[in-house]
Amino acid sequence: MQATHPDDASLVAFLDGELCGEDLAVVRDHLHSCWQCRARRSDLEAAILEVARLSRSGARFPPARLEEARQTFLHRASVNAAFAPKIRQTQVRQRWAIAVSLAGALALLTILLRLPSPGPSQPVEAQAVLTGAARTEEATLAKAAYAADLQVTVRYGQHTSTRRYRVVSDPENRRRLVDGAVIPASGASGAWWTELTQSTDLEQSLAAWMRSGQWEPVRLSANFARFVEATGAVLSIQRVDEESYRVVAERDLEDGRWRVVLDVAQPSLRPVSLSVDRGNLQWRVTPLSIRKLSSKESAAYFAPPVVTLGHNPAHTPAYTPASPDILPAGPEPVKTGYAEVGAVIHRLHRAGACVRDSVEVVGVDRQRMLRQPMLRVVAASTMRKRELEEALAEDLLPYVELRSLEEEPPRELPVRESSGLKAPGALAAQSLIASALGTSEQRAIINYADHAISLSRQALGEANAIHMLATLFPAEGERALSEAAREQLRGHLLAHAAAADVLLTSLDEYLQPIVKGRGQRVVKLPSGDAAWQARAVRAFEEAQGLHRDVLKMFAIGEAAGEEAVEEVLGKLSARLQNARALMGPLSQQEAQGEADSRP
Amino acid sequence: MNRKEAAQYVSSFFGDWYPALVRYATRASGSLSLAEDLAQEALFQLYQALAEGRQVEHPKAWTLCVVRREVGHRRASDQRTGLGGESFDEHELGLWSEVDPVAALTLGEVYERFHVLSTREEEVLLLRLEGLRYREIAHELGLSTPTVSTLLARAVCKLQAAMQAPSSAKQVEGVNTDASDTSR
Repeated sequence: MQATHPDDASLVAFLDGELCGEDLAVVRDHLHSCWQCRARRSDLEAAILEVARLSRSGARFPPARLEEARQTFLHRASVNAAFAPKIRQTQVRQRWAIAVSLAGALALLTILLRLPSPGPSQPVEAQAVLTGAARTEEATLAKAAYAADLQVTVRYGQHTSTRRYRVVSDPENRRRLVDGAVIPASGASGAWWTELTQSTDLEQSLAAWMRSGQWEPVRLSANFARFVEATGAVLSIQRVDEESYRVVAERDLEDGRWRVVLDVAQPSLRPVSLSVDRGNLQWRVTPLSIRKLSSKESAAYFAPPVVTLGHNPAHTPAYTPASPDILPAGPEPVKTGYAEVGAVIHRLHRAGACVRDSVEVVGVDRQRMLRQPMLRVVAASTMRKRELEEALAEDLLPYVELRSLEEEPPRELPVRESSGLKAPGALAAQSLIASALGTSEQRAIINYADHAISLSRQALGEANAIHMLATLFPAEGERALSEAAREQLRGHLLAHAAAADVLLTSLDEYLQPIVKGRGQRVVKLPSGDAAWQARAVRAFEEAQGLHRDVLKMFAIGEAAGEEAVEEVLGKLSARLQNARALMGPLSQQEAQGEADSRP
Repeated sequence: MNRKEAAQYVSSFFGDWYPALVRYATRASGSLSLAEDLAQEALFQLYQALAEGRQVEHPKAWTLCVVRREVGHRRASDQRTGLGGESFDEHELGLWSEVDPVAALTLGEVYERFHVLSTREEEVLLLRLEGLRYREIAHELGLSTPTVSTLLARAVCKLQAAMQAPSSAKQVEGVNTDASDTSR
């Protein structure tokens, strides 16, 4: 009988009463006869007792923690329950059927017994529901780090985009991360969304709301309240069924009516979804789940990394052709493993962020980078801004605070006085530049261009006058000019030359990159801006040529006497003819205007 | 079972099953904090299954399987992304040992002892401790009945060995601290 001792597994199974039939008989008989195995059985039994005891002691979980876990679960369950329209509807339907039959019976009874009818139900105020919901949310979310999965659906015309976000927030609810993945439903690309969010006021405010630090998609009702307050909408409340309210904010705008709806579930007043409806734009946020974040997970999101970045501390106001590119060259411009910063810098670099764009690091710790702007980029112009926006695309744009110089607060631009000429024209030009700088960059350039054109034209007129004089009096033309007249002419030319000089120095700063970049794709302009760009470029070239010639004329005239002046004037005239042809329709229109205004 | 009932039912699990589930998840995932998430997720999935009217014969075994599956998913995604590499966090255990100093064994120590088991062994042991028959355990975990008894026996032996070793060390420590106390 001692031939085969049963193994531990059989003994444990025997102790557990899991053996049956022949196996059971064999082990039992063996145990009867074998002391060794009986001892082993006792050992195992003791071990099992010990394990059971150990397991029980392990069950001594901190009660507070256990309760918290239970509450978290119940919260999730209630959110989930609120999203179960099918089940709720069927329940409602059943209840409805019962209610109808009951109501019928009650009506009969009322008629028969003339019972007093029950009073109207207590009215509910929308603001109260909203406040309650906001408070519930605050209370739920304020305590712990959490992760919420949200679904944001945007429908615009025929485009539909569904986007799932995971919002991760830390205990102070200050830092958050939105992790988005776009799932286009019907051939929608990222660009239309950008266009959409910038198309009108409401969309703009929605976009701003979403991008601002205040926007937290989970805090639906709190944001809703803030939004309603900000837009001055009319609040109303509908009771959908006994389990949910619908708070509606409506407002008429010039171009239509918009409607924001917040669904709130009873009895906890928990917000269920938020939707914005505005004609062809529908926007809906639905929380799929909200759960507490483990400390490790939270640490993984919020750990501060070390970032070393190159940036331009001087904010580069001055343009020098020789100034080095703000971004270090090479494929790895950033010495960091921090993916977003690296990606942003790399893409800016690839987009050819030119010297006039200023990049500044706003925050280098991770908490600032979580969907918060961490780089401040000031584009040299509105076109540059658009270009950089395109380059950064939807995925990286939120990490960058992108502005153009135009949106920057006005600052002192250096107006260089490159020539020592002091004349009324120069002073006028300077004051014009100063006032133009007070407005905005683009406007300033247009103003420069306009003024440069008008100055060029004045210089052209003056030169023509001289030329005509010289033509009318070919032999003694110069001598016929009295000293005073010559002085007057010279004074005028001097003034215009000085003004042109000042203007050109300033224009140089703004237009040089554009002119240089022709054919090199430094600036790619949207079609709408082509007109003024062309105009500015033309004006620049025109003014430059005129200026050079006028100066040359002076130089030669003063050095070589009146005969030389005549020669130069002849050349100048031919050149101006060319310039006039170059200026094309613009000058034709204006010439026509001038001709019309002449008597 | 409607949603409210399902929530109630699952919520009643928290008292006795949640700690065991967390412990198992800790063992499987290597992190206590992650384990709580996993346990939450498993119980939530149980709730959803019940609310949708599905039959769950052994809810505890069911949740255990969910945790195991989730751990597998996370590990796979960690490998894909090159992140992860979670290790058993001493700091967490330190925290947890402070929670219940009166207990003969702190939670951390219990966790440490269960650490000697393989996940399979712990699964079988946990389910057995919950009173499931071998046949049921085998069915839930997709094993054969003899394998269950083998795993169970191995788990019991391992735990017994583990319990004897550190407890003696602790006694020595205790003597030492006593001695230092008296010397003051």
